[in-house]
Amino acid sequence: MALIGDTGNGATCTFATSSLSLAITKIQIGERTLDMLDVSTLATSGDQETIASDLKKTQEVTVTAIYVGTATLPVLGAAAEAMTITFPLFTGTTTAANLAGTAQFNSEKLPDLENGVIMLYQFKWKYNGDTGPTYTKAT
Amino acid sequence: MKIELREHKVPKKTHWGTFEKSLGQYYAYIENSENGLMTQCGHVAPVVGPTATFMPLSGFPQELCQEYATECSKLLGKPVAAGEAPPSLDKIAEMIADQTKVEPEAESEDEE
Repeated sequence: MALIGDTGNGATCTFATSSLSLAITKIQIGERTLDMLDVSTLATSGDQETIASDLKKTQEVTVTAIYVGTATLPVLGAAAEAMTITFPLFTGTTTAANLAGTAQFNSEKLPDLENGVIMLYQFKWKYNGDTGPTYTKAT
Repeated sequence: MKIELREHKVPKKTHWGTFEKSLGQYYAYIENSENGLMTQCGHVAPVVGPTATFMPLSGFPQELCQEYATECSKLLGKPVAAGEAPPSLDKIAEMIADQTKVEPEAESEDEE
């Protein structure tokens, strides 16, 4: 069987409105979850019986980047915009897989300052559910 | 340079069926010089508005960005800017060197 699998090298974050130019080192995509509701009755035996809830909880994304003093930082709570994580474009595909949806920045962590350590900063956004978030596979 | 823009839409499920909703941006494609296929190279946003910005995918040659943005302008009939690139490796190395440099110890004025 041919070997499969690849690293995250080549992934991209784009923001439809914010003018951000970032030297990103890591993109951490959080979980998107759907609660399961207990519908067990007095007649239930053995295992709890559950059904899926109606609404999914959207994920939060954490981006780590090399700190550049002249770079524009994200604005927390600014108007929602389309935020797209494009996965690496693999050989044989013409459109990369992506996770996209409207979101707002909700967290910012400026770098720790220490001898001999590269300054990295982090910011987070959370998809707001207005459009997406939707994962689209590569084609 | 042959380019193509396709609006980025995602499905929206409602009680009345599933519809497509626009994210207000385009997928940006360029003709691959080796195989002739239209291959994604970034996004252009926003769809609505007097201007737009071309945002390239990681690794897309910075030298081609302005030319691509110019072609997008012709296609959309409005100014399209080439997005600002992240700092180059040279610049990052320079910043890291600057952040981690060790100042030489000053000579002591007290001599025994």
